[in-house]
Amino acid sequence: MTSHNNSANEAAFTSLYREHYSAVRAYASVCVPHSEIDDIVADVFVVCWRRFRDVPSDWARGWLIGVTRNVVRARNRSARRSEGFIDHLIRLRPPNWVEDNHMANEEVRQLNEAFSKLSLGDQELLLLAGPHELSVGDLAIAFGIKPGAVKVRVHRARQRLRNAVAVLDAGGEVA
Amino acid sequence: MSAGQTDPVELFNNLGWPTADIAVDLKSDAIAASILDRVLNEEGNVVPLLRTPQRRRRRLGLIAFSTVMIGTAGTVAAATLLRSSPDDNRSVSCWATAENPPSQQDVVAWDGEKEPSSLCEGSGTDLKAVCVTEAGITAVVPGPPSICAEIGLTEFRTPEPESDNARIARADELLGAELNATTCQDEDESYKVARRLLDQVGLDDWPIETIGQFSRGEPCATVALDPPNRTAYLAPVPPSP
Repeated sequence: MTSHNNSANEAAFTSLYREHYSAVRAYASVCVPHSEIDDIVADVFVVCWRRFRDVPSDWARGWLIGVTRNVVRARNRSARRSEGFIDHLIRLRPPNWVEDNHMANEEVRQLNEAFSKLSLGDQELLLLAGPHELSVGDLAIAFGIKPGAVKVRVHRARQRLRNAVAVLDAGGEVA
Repeated sequence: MSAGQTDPVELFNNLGWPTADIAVDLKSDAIAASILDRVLNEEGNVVPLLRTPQRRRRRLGLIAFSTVMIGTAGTVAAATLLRSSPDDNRSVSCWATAENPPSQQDVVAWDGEKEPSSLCEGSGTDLKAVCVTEAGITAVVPGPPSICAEIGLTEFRTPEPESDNARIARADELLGAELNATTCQDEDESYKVARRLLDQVGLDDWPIETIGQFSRGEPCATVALDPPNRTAYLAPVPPSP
C-alpha cells in the first residue's frame, strides 16, 4: 500500500475520530471511573483503526458504541476475575444529578431514584437513545439486534421509568 | 406522576448531560489530540485497507437501514424471557478467546438450525461452548460449557418443540416471511396478518400493541415480539427506497 493511501486512511480515520470522539467519551464516562476514561477511549479507537474497513459508514457511531461496550465489559471482567467474582459486566455510573444539576429539585431526586432502580440494560438504553441521541439504526448496530427490537426495548425502558416515578410519586417503593 | 409534572423521560433527556453529538476540535482539546496521537502511533504498523470516505451520518438515513434489516429479518423476537435462546437466529459470533477482545470476533451467517459451534472452526480448540450474550447474540466461546456462566453469559439451549419458545420462534419466522419491507403494509393490514399468524402458532392470547406514530415518513409496519410481556408490537418504519 502506498504512502499516499496510508495518508488517505489516516485522514479518513482522523475525520471519523473527530466526529465521534465526544460520543465515545460521553458513553465511557458513565461506564468507568474518571481515571479510566482516556484508556477506554484509546482502546476503542485502536480497535477502530485496526478494523477501519469494517466500520459501517452510516452507522459508525453505533459501531463505536458497540466496541466501547465490549472494551468496558472486557476490562470489568478482568478486574472482577482478579477479585474472585463475577458481577454485572457493565456498570453505569449514575450522574450526580442532584448534586450537580441546577434542576436539583424533588422531581429530579425522584427521577434519580427511579432510574437507579431500573436494570442496567434499561439505564443504558435510556441514556443512549435519549441524551446520547443514538438513532435506532445506531442502537441496532451497537447492541447487535434489529431495529424492531430496539424500538421495543426503548419503549419498554421508558415505560418502566415512567412507572417507577409514578410509584414513588404515590409514596410507594419501587421493587 | 402528579398533574403538572414533567414527563420523566423528557426530564431525563434534559438534565444537562455532556454533549455527545459534537465534533471535537483537535486544536483546542489537548486530551483528544493526545489520544489520537497515541492510537495512530501505537498502531503505526497496522495498515488498514482504504475504504470509502466517511460520510456524514444521516439520522434520516435510518430509512434505508431499517428497511434493509427488516427486509432480511422481517420481525424480531425480543426474547429476554428466553435467556438461553438468542434474539438473533441468523448469525453466530465466533470468539477467539473467552476474554473476547472485540477485534477478534467473527460474525458468521447462521440458518438457525445448524449446531452453532460447527460454524466456528478456526477457534483453535476442540472444546467450544455455545452461549447467549445479554444482547441475545449466540456466541461460540472456546472452553467447557461452564465458561458461559464464568464470563457472565447464559448457556445456549435449543427450545423444546412444544414450548412457548418454539411457538415464538415459529411466529418470528412466519411474520418475517409475510411482513417485510418489500411490501409496505400499513398498521391495519399488518395487525390482521400478525393476529392471524400469532393465532396460527398458538399465541392467541398475545395482544398486539402499537409503538409510536405511523406517519408519511414511516407508513409501513414491522412486528416485534416481546416474550416477557407476551405481547407483539407494531412499530412504524419507512418504506423501502
